[in-house]
Amino acid sequence: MKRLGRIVRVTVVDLTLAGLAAWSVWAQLVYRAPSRYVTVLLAGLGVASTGLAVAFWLHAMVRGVGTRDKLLSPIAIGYRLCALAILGSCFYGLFLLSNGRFDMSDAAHHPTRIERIGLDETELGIRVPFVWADVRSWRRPGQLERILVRPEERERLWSGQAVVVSVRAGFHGVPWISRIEGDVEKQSREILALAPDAAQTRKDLVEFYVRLGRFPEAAIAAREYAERFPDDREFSVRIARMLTARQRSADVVMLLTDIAPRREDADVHMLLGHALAMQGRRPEGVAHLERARAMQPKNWWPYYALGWAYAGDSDYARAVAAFQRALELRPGLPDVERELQRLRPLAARAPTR
Amino acid sequence: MKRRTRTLLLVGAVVVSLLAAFNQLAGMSLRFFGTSTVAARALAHYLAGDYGGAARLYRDDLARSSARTPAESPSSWLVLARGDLAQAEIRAGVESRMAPADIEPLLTLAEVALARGESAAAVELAGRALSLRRDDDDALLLTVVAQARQGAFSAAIDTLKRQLRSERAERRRTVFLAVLEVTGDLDDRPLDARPNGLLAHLHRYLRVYDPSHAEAAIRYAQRAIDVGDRADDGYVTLAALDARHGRPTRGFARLQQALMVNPRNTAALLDAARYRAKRLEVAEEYRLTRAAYDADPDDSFVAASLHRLLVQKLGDYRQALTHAEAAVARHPRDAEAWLRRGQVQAHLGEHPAALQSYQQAAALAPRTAELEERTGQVLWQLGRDVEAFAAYQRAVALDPLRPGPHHGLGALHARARRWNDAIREAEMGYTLGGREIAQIVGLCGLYVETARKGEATTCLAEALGRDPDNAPALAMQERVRGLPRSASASR
Repeated sequence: MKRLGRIVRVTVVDLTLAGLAAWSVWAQLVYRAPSRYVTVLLAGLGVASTGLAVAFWLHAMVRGVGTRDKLLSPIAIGYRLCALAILGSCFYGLFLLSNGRFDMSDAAHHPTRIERIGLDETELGIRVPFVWADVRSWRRPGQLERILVRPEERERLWSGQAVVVSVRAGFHGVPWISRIEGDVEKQSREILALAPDAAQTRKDLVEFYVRLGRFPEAAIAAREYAERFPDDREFSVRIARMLTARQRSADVVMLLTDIAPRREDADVHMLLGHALAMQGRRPEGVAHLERARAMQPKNWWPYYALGWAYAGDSDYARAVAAFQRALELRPGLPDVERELQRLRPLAARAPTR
Repeated sequence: MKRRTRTLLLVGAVVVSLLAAFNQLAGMSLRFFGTSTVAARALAHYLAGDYGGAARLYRDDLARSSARTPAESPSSWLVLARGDLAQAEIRAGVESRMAPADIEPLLTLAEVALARGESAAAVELAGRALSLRRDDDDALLLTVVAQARQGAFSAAIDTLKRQLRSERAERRRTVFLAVLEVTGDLDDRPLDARPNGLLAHLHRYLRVYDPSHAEAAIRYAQRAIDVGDRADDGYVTLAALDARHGRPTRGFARLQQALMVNPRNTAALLDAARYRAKRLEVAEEYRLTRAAYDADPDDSFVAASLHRLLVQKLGDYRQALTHAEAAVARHPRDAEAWLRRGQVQAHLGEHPAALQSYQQAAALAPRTAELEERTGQVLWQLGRDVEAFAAYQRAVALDPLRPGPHHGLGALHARARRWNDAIREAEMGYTLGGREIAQIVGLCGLYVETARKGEATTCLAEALGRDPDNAPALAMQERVRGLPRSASASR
């Protein structure tokens, strides 16, 4: 009975250690920190420790059924060293997890190139659990960064590929890689050189620019798209909305200025009018917003944008009227309620225009 | 050597042999393991590498088991399986007259001709079946066997390549046995008289049922390369097996070798394009697929590959339309070309023209669920709701598990303000896997319209999770915030 209890205890301990090792590897893959040696060493250590732990467990099973027990035998010391290695790896995983999980920083995107993929395709056709990429360093010119590759990234990353690496600052100040993706800009330009009418490729390129925060390039690419495919109103409006949400008024103006005269579209007038007003070109902005309002009298947004435009132009009476109408159509807009409280006294004092 | 050591070595050898045998048997299809003594003998012949003998014994086994199958009016194939060639021929003739568009009797007649050694007649009959259903696997394989029997090895390779690219297997057991038999007969020839290229392809096909054929396929492909017997196709076979064995990069290198031998080998070009596609190298994928199309624009499979790439990945509808127009002009009776043309016209907003193309496709070939769904979409765009409804219902009848028609029916019910029916259909579409962003947003819209706040919130979370800037979803989210909690949400 005693012997059985010992076997069960050893089994539970080893399975727990194996689980922790697997978890630490997972943490290192998800919240990977670029490192020339440490990542791979740790990953290798995790594998070695797990393997050894299993071997020692088997040995312990044999001992459990009758072999003499020597507490401080080399096997027992090795067993404990392995356990310590796993726990160390686990703590490192915990560190990386907290570094990534609590990180609120925006990603910085670095175009670079994969020089080599390690252990990607073995001669035996066996898939190994660890694959890494040696990537040209974006912080130390001429050097390489070694990054663990996640299973879902394996098929689409290869040696010689131009990629964009998204690096985040890290909660503990240790930079980590949240994403490695193909350089869509480079790929798209190659496709467009072969098939200039590839509409989806142009759209993907614009959205890639937006995702990376390269807004002027997004606006230019979206304008090129609109010139080539003038019947597709939805895409230009979608991108203009995305740019508006990110307060990129100049880029919205660049995108929509040529489109607005060609198309009597309330959304285009609304977004362009708002962007112009935000740019300080209030009379032009107001003209577009008034047209949008006339086309969509039940939509609160043109009134809302008009309110801000008139307020910016110190036309308080019109601003108050526009904000009030916006609030009627869309109750509960906190910034409008605040602005109305501020503007009403000013409107009362100001002479009527 | 001590007795104990000898025993240990013997036990080790037995264990290794058993493991190797189990490894081979475990990978084999169950069709090799019958319950009769004849089937057991057939298996023994098969394992000994006598594929011809095995096929003949398996055919005997099939005849006995088919004879036990009760059937008041057995089909021509069942009669053929029972081994009665004369009756099978008569019955197939009757079936063919009753249903001229059915390819099964033609296949039976082709098999009968093959069994009588009339290879030319078999090729002709299988060709008639292929004119009714292009790329039918059984018809292609029968053609391969007949061409091999005629000694037209190069033509047989071309036909088998057509079959292999579909990655499907035959329906008829008798056709499988014919393939196995011809493989065995060709294998039994003297080494220098074997058609290495064809044997490589035949073993590649048989690998579907028994992975151990991969070794033979590699051996023959290597030999074909060495002797210059369609070396480019030999490399393609090696590449396909490399990809199967988890070495796609090595396989790609083989494809490049194939293209060095023959830059117009469409199989190598398309396989290389597929490899590039997996690595998201769309420009290279396009270049290779386009090269395959330029090499053989009349090959419907290649044309369809280019069409899919242009429409689904690149969105180059103008180029896709140019190719579809050219295909329709060259082959006015090609239903698939009309379908492709209609699809591109629909993308370009030319709905009346798209409808005409779909109608033309429907007139030339049996209606499919895909065709009915696309017709329904165009009719919906044209506001012809009653006809759209009928088209979607036909699509559901043809393939009840296809999600698109359910979403289409949901949209039609919604337009008629039959909300419960609309939600039922859209949810069915979603459950069946129809989860494109537009379909999800459509379902969210139905929840919003019916003030189901809980479902709407969950649905919009999914839609905005996939596309955070989706304008209709954002607008709906605003509306949902103003909704009271629905009964379903408060449960």
